[in-house]
Amino acid sequence: MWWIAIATAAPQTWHLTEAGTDLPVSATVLCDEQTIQTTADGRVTFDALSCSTIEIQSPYHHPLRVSSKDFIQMTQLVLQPLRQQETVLIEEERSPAHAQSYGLDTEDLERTPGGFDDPIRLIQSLPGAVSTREYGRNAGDVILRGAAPYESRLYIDGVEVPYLYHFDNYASILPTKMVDNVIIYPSNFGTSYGDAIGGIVALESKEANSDETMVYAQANLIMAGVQATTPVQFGGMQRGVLSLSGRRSFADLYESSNEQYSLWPTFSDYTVRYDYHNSEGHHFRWTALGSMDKYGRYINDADELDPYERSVNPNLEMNRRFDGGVFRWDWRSVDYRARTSVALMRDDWRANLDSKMGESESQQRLDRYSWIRHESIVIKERVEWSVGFDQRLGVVEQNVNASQPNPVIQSDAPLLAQGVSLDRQLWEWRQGAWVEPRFNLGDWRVVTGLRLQALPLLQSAGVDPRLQIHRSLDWGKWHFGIGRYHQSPPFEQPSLTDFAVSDQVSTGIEWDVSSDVRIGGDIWAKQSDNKWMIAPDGSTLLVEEQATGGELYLLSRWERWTTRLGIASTNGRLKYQDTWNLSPYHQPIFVNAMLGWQSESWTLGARYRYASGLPYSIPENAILDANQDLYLPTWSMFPEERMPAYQKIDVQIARLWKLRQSELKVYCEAWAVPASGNYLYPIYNYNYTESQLVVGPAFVPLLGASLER
Amino acid sequence: MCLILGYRIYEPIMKQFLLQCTLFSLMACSEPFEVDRHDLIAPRILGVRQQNAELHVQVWNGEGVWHQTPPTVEWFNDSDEVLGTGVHFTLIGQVPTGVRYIDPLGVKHVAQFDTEETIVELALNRYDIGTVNDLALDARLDNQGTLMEGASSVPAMRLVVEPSNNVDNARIRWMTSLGQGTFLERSALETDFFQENILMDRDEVELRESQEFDYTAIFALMVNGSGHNQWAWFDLWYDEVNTLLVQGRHLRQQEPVSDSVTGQMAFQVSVVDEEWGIELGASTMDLDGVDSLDCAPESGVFQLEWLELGLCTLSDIDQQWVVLEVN
Repeated sequence: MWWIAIATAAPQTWHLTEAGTDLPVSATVLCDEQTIQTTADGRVTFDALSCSTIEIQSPYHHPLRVSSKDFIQMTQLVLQPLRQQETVLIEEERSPAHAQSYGLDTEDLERTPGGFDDPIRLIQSLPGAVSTREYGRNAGDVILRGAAPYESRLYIDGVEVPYLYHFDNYASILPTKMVDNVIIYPSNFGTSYGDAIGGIVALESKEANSDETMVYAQANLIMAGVQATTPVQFGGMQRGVLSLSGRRSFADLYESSNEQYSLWPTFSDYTVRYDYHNSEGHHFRWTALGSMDKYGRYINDADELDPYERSVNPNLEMNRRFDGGVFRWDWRSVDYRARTSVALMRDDWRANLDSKMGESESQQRLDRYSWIRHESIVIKERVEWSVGFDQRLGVVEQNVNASQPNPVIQSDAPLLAQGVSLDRQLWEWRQGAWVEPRFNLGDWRVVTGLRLQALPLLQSAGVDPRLQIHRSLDWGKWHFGIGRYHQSPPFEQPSLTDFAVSDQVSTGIEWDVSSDVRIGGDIWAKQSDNKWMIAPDGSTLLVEEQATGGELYLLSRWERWTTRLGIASTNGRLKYQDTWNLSPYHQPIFVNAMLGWQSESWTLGARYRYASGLPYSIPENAILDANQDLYLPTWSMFPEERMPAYQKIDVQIARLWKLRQSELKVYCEAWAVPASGNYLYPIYNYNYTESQLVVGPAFVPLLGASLER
Repeated sequence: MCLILGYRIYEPIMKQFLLQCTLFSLMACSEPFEVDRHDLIAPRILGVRQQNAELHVQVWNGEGVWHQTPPTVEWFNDSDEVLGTGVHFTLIGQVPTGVRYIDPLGVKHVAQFDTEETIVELALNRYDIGTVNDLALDARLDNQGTLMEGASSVPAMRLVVEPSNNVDNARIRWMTSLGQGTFLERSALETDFFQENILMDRDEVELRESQEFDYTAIFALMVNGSGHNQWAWFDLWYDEVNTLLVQGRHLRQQEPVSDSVTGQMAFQVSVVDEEWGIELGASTMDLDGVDSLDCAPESGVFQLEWLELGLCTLSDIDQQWVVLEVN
């Protein structure tokens, strides 16, 4: 009678909707070998009994796979939407556009010890990132495969931001709860990113839960903050989700000043985000974000001064804030995806140096820029075409009143530190555009493309051809990348007009030992020319670089256990005036091991790091400035010595209580640094003839709590 | 010494709790260096000044205030072209921007400068401040002390430099020969000086021990940041010796000369040792038979600064008769 059933079965119509929103879903229905596309309003009509199994695929939703018998009994087809992080990370896994990427999702961010409630700190736990010591000179710097921090680009929701860290790299500008995922592309990234000869850090803020109103409050001994999300309804219809976040440090409330700080460091940040999905699959997002840092400090180390000298120690007041508005549009259909980010940013950086012995000096640097980035992906059967462009257009006003160089305030107020009075306006305009066909050829995926990087004001441009090859194997994957990378010269140094150019190659494998365990390894090499380097005396050198390295890593998630192990090596040398020198980011060995365990109530974790100390420049000589009775060092242009190897142990313990309508979490993080490597940076005596390494804190705990309702 | 990384908290209850929970450990520590800028030990350039259309450089030769051999000095311009040699440079033609001192061991020391003509005399007043237990600045400022007469010193003194005319933003950089004693400055032109070795971590006293020495020379360098530089050497005697005030310095003498004597006198000078330098011997009011020394750049009264700068050496003056201006 079965044939009768087939003969007599008539096509039926189903309506696909999304769980939670009841919005119609546009999807593809696979009925054995037959492919049927739904209409835009989520309707599909076909004969379900003509196939044995039915699978519904949507780029925005988890696939639904059922037998035809079960299928015809379903009156409503409800698809579970992918969360934003799943979209990004899963896409990068399924259809990579870059030779290699390493990512951290929400769970990683919350469970990896050593973050101190700070998601961006954990970038250094990823393979390909160089390890820096806490409170050292490079603390928190993002150094990817040996590239200087300014050679990598940092994006939040697709937009370049002025900086990622508050005061002295103490905390990043987004709270963990607002971060969805962080992905780094350490080198050999595709043409959709550019103007960087280092790597890319792409951070996505989290899309709020649209189901219910939630409030999350957290505090530790340094800062406190609140995040809240709520669905927004108009006329009884859900019209989006609103997320709010605000944090502030509070140590200034109980301490106003001391002999080192005239104004206690204060930092705060905020995010306001509104998400709206419409029935056509468009996702609109408006975000306002900002960050503020303020402090006053006496510029010379109080410990090196006698009481009277401390009383006339010049006082620097630093005040920096940025504010920005970002509009983001994502649209996905089965065969087309678009992503557009438009932003306006304002970065205001002021500093005043008030010397009791002379006139006050000041800097104001006001950077206002617009950012636009668009990417369209057209999906065909065997090829995806990614085309897009990005542009940064802005103007920076520099107003500096200075009489003499002051190297000790280089990181606080770099313009003022140079000691040159300025009153000028500089325009920045850089553009990039790319075409990138991505071929899917069975087990092979070949991503090739061209990127044009242009500087309209200088009327110069560079073309970057790039190629990535990925092959799926029975046991895992192999990938290979080769390409050219241009980076614009720093626009605040008008004397530099040429692009830095880097040729990069990398290859690696990923072995899926089991569904829970992955082992991988990458090797890479770079040859860079016309690369600028900030010398210790503040001057800019143009150098050639050769760098090689590799990473081995193991990732495992098994029941309640999470393991990460990474071993990396970064080896770089710089050529200047026909002489090869050690790169300041040369780190032959970096081991990062993490073990975590989680139950419903407890989270435990430990992380161990061992890293070669980074090289540093030394004073070769010192000249007396007889007008000041002050010695001015002459630094070696390139590193001559190396910090001792660094070891650090982080532990994390968190207890979660589920209350009637909320969750309370109390956590403690702590780090310990063995004495053999517990050095922060070198210091020198008055005429630079003696030196020693400053010993750092051996044990640092942090207590905190959060309440989610 | 330790500094708190980012956060330093005092006071009770909440602060103590926070301190104990997390902040006690946020400390970075370093050991004091063996030599600080107040200590004249290894050879170095001390200062450059311009007066009477001449540039002068004062060096510390590593052994004492006085010189066994003339310092080897080169004056050069921005192109590192040597424009002249010696501790005096007459400003005619090209103006040097740097000076290089090659010390007795052959080590080069370089200073850069942009000096202005500065005609100012520096005088030193000393005040006995008694026993000082609290070394914090506020406590020391309350103790003005008693003005001291004569040459002898006490273990704790307030030293005040008084310029003969005002120089904007002037401040004194104090140094002591062979690193003897400890300065704790009070204001731009005054310091407390202790016959002790004192090590402080901010206002906390880490080490305080008395020192035994009979004499030390103090170098007071005045700078104002704009090139108005001047300096003076002063003598602090802790031993009972006969001294005579000559051009602001208390020189040791074998036989005391009457306090009422002022003006020009001839003395036979002998060299005692590197540290104490010279001693005045026989004296006479008859100046006619006294010739200028070959090392002296001009005739007439012998200037002690010629010895201090190194224009004249100890061997140039040993057992010689010179005319001195007695204050």
